[in-house]
Amino acid sequence: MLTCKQISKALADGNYRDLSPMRQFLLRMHVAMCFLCHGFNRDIMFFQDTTRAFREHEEDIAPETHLPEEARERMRQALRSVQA
Amino acid sequence: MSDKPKRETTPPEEWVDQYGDYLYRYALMRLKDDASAQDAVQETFLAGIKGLDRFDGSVDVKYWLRGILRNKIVDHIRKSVREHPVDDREGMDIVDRMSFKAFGIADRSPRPWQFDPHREYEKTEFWGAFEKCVSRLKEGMRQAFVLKMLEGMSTEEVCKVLDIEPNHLWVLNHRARKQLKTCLEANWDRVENP
Repeated sequence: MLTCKQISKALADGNYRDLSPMRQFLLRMHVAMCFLCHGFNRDIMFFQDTTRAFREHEEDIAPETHLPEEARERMRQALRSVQA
Repeated sequence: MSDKPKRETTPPEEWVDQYGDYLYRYALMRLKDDASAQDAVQETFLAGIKGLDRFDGSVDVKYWLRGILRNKIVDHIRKSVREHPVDDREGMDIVDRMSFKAFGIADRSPRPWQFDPHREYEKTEFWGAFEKCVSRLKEGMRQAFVLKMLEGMSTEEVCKVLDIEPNHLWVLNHRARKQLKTCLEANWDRVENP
């Protein structure tokens, strides 16, 4: 059985979805049932899910943001100069 | 020997037009500052050309360049921290609380979410609100959130870049989550009910 402190440490160390299936199961079980850390650790898990989902959707976000033309031209020139 | 067919490589002279926007958006989200984002992208292209002989074609060149950009972003954050150290220690009293020492938690029951975030992942507007909220975090908190949560770096690596102790990183991320929750609820509500 995992303790609240072990759960919090695991969540602080990395994304809970990268844990082994068994450890992930134990963690989810604990957080679902624990009256002490339920709300707190559930919020951390939410943000880990959200940042993971963000990375998956990131390419579709803000398509209206473009690299300014001036910077684009500067980069083209820089690339040309190192290729020459 | 690998039998995997190599992907066709986009010639470097086309990189700016093909990947410029994508890499710029990626950098801007993480660095916030326009000039730094442009610098990081330019440095990425130049490093890409220099290291092109090491590109093995196992991934799309776009993602290979993104890998280089990630390192450039970390370099920019490291440089920024040297000029403006992360000294925001507000909230460090959390680590002295009994609930942190005994259970590793700051609050037993944060208030519940006003909406179910998992249901919003397919909506592009939600990510627009998320991006906006991340950009509103105070600099140290934003840098900690970007490196730890978005880039998935280890606690040890992030602490080295930000020159802080693990407990301080924990507090910064705790406070970032709290502010993001408040901001997301306010902004997402506005998107749904304009």
